Amino acid sequence: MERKKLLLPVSVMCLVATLLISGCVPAAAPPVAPPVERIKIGALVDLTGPIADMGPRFKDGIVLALETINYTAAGRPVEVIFEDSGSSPTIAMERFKKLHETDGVNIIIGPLMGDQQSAVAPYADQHKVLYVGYINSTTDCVRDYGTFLAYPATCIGQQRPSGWYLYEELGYRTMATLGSDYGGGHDYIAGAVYGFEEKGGEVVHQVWAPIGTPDFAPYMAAMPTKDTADVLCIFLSSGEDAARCLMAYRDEKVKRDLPPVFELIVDVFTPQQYKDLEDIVVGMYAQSTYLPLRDDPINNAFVAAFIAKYGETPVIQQNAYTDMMLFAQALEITGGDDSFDAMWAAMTKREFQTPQGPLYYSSYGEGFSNVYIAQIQKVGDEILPVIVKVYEMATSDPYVPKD
Amino acid sequence: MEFFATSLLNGLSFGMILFLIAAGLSIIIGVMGVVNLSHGALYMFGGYFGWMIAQQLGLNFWLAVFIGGLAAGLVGLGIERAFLRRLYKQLNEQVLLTFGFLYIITNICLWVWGGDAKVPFWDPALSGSFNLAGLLYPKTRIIVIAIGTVLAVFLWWLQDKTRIGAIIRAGMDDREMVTGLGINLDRVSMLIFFLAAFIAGSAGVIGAQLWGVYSYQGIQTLLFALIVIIVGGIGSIQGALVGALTIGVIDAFGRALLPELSMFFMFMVMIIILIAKPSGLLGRKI
Repeated sequence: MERKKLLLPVSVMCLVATLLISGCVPAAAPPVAPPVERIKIGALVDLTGPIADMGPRFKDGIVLALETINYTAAGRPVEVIFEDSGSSPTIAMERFKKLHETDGVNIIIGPLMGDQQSAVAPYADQHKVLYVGYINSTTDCVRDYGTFLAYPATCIGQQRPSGWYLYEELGYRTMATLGSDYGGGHDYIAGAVYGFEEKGGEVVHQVWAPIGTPDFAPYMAAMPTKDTADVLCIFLSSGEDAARCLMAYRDEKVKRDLPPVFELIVDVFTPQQYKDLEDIVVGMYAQSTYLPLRDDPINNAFVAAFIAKYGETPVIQQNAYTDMMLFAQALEITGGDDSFDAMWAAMTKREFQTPQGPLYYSSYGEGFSNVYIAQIQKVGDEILPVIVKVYEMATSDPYVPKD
Repeated sequence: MEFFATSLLNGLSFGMILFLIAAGLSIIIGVMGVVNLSHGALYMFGGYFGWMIAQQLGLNFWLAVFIGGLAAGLVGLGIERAFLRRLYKQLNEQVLLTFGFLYIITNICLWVWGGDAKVPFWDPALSGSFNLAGLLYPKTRIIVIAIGTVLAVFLWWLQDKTRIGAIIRAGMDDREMVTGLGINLDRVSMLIFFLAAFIAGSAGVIGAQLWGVYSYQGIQTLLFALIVIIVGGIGSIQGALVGALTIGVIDAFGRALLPELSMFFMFMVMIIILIAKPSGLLGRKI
């Protein structure tokens, strides 16, 4: 009987307590500030397909940048939505649209490959979506469309100094080339060839290999020897292709006197791949717009933070880190306005300081940055590219209009 | 002459890897009537497993070949026992299921071993080159050719000269009749599926001497294997061998002499065979 008497007041107290806890009693609720709208940024990374080795590295760079800015820009929380572009222009296009139309994103980092960038260019242009590359772009994306930032330069612009170096510093007069058979691959080789021919050099042999070629031995069997070509310029779109290619080169070099290799983009290798290829790559010349050994306070801080977080020396992760950091800086300039017009004005015709050195975007979106010629050397326990020459802000693409 | 010999050997070594990939798939399609599109993923899975044994754990390369094969064999057996044995003679379902497994296995490999490609690796004793009458040629490629030849002879012997081979061939012709004779074709099928997956996994490690291991290898090798069995003929070891070597040699010479048509040669051979002899070079008439 006593229990029945208690049941009603206890039930009422429980109900009131529940309402108070759930915030359903307005009188008891504290005043709530209006929610601050998040800034959403898209990131297309290749997590599957022939260049799946690249995506996780870019993701690491972006995550470190987000932690550096404490996931905020201009006082607003920043969220990055990652999508897999699947090493494919078709998938990149579909995910790019999804990021803009479904997620409401106006600024996107990526995609990586030249053919992917070309695929999304008309859509981005029509819908005013600002996007930026990870490692260069084909010239047409910058020249023919108006919403793309070629970071850190176009492929042709970045490689032009390679041609100069081969001719002027290494004294080569004839060149053979082997490049990945896609838009960006052709442009990388075209840049080195442009610079080389500009100085008076001659290209004697050119080969294009499909992305993901399993066996490079047939190409090497037909490669000219030193008698015909002074140097073999190689650009392959991923570390795995480059590794297989260099191994086929080594096998063929046992038989014939092949010319030395100049690797146009050294960034494709991971530190582990350097170690695996030690006997081939040590002593080889290469080129990049970023090298981790560059001695500079901004870069030193970045490298230290990256090693502390991931336990390895950054290479191309820097590119994604810088992309994200520059978007954050631009958002600070615009006061958090992520519309195309505001962001474009904030990003272009302005020099930024980054771990790779100064970076400047023209009003056409063409990036200008330093070019580092490096020789791959053993440094302590690591094998790393060591800078031997710097071409300052030298990534001018002859096919893109200038301010 | 040196160019010709080198290109021929390049073609043979490439072709032998294609044979190692395609042999198992050809048997499965021919004997069991199962289109196993996860075969390429089993090749890759074996390669990753072998890499782990040989490179990460530093154990013997040939042990890695065996364990890579065993791992792929067990996965293949699991797929057959749990799913495919319920789907005999259901072609559409087989295709959808095994293509799904291709993606599942690929993503598991990405998850476990990451996206970074594993560069080619081999037994330290195979570093360097053999001197073949004045022509220096990498030992790893010669070993691939030798292993492929031995496997081809073994599979030919197994299929054409043994009782189990006779059961397999009879099963290809008339499954019901063989079952009616009291032969447990289900057990034979299970054994064949395991053997095919084992060969694929071992091939993943053997092929890693030239190609390394990478995350899209599953779909790439599946495409190679399908082209080989179309060219060589379904269900025939000799057909798979002839198809693989034909493609390997034409592809090697094509890439060397006309590199701008690199993507074209393999498919050109397939198209010509499909037009001229739809059953394949040594396949049965269809």
